[in-house]
Amino acid sequence: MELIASGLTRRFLRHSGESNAFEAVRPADLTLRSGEMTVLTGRSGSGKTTLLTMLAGLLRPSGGSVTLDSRDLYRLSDAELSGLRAKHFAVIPQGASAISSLTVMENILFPTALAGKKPPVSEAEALMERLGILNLRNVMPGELSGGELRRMAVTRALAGSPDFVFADEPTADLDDGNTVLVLTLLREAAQNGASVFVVTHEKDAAAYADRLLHMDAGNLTNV
Amino acid sequence: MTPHKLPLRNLLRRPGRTAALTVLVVFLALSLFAGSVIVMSLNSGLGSLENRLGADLIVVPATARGKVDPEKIWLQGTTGYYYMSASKLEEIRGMQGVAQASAQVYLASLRADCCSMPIQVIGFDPETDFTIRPWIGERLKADLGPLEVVVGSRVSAGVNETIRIYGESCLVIARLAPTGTGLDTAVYCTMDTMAALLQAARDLNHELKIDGDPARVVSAIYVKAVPGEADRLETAIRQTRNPKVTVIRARTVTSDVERSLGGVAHTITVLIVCVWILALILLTAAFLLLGGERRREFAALRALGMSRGGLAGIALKEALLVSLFGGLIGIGLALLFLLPFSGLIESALGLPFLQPGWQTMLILAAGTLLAVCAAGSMASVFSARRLSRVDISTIMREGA
Repeated sequence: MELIASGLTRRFLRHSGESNAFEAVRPADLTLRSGEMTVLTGRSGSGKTTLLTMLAGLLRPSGGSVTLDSRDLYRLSDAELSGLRAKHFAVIPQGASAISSLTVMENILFPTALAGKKPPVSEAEALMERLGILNLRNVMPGELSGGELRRMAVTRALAGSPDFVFADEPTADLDDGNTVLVLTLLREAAQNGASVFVVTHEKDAAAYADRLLHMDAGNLTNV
Repeated sequence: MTPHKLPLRNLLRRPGRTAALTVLVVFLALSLFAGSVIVMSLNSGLGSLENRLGADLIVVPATARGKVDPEKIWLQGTTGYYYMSASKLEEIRGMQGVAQASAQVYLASLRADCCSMPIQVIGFDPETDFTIRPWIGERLKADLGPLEVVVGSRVSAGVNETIRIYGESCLVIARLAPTGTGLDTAVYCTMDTMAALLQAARDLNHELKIDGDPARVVSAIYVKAVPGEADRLETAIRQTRNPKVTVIRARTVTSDVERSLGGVAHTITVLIVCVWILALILLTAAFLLLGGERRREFAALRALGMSRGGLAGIALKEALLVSLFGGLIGIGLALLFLLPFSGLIESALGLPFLQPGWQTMLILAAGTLLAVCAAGSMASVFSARRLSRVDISTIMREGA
């Protein structure tokens, strides 16, 4: 499977300041392929998260297109796009993303339930074991630390073996040991056939990447 | 854990928020259901009173009002008695424009050794009666024998029990359907039984102020006029002497009740409308405020692959569940208040009050549930719409 972004741009309007409009992402062309881990680095505010969000089908671009198997994501209806995202994509957002009324295990299995897939309980347990959160399976998210929530989000993204993983700062809140573990798991997901797209400030992430990209003031460049 | 169970889990996980929303819905359901039942009971009571009075004119002795207002006997169950000669019945029957005429005799029992309880006893003539017999006929096919009585629905004596009236034991052979009027607290017997009871009361030195034979007195004469003759007949009866009489138009009694009922129904309707407007505003505001707190969670659901329709569905299902739950509690509370205290409500309002049967109650309850569910869903529409359009950047950026 290939996800192709062509001439992707995103313009935002600011309600104050000298210039009203600014381009968070300038025309960007990018192809994400199965079995490949792509790492995107860049300074804060350079447009990394905006690019990831557009690639993941969560933010309509101002220009350009994102196609998956010749289907332009942003020409699909909301229900079609949501169904496609639930079936093929997994997102590890930068902020807290736990559903507070569900236990850790229920949170992890929720995306597969949403996609109508069989709950991957054993895969989830294996990942939780490796990330050291198996003992938290019946705990509510409100009782977890930031690092535990992050590991839960990583498990949730990887448990259903998605075709595309979009990870925005997946190692934030994590110690060195867990950082290595999460990057290793993302690498393994790519080796198992997923296309993994990681936005990070983590310098060590480059060592896990098949392809390294950089973003500066909305401009995407190959490193 | 399937996505369609999420709304219930969300509600159970936040009991404080759920309880606050439920309380508002309880007010909606309670006011609508209780108000509707009360208005319907008053209307049924009025209909029942019209059936039970069942005559165009009711003739009582002119001295009756000085003792007890006949309307109070019919409407509020006040006990009382007054008499005039039975010859008045024959006189009225002979008048032009009379289609039917039948007499009733009243006796009030006492709270004393001679009587089981203070109740109104009404004697009627099964041969000529056209108001009580159809009512009794609903429950009793056989004729009433000597010292046999049928009791109103609110008399505390069961079938086959005996009640003592001035030392006479009377067998209860049937219990009447409720009318919601004062007639529910009375006991009914034939004229022969009534004559025996009057004689027994006399023998116990109870002052009845009857001159002569107790079998030759009547308390009220129910007159059905030939169509179009009621006004003329009323005037003619008023002019009769020996004794002088008071003529009560049955329609006047029911019109008075109808007027009071209209006032009460109007007040209840205004109250229901006020409660609904206030509760709906509060409910809408509550859904919006509480929805604002949940933007991050809905953004997370969106990121996980849920559609805008799915997000709106969760918000609407939560509102529907709260409405259903609050509606059931509201209806339950209304029943707890209405069923045991209908007598108190009746005496507080001073109007006939006949509660609808359980089938009608069920229909009203179902209607109330539908109404509160629709109202709850409507109140959550704005919130659901806002949540379904939540900005995904809420969670895509840390600390946003």
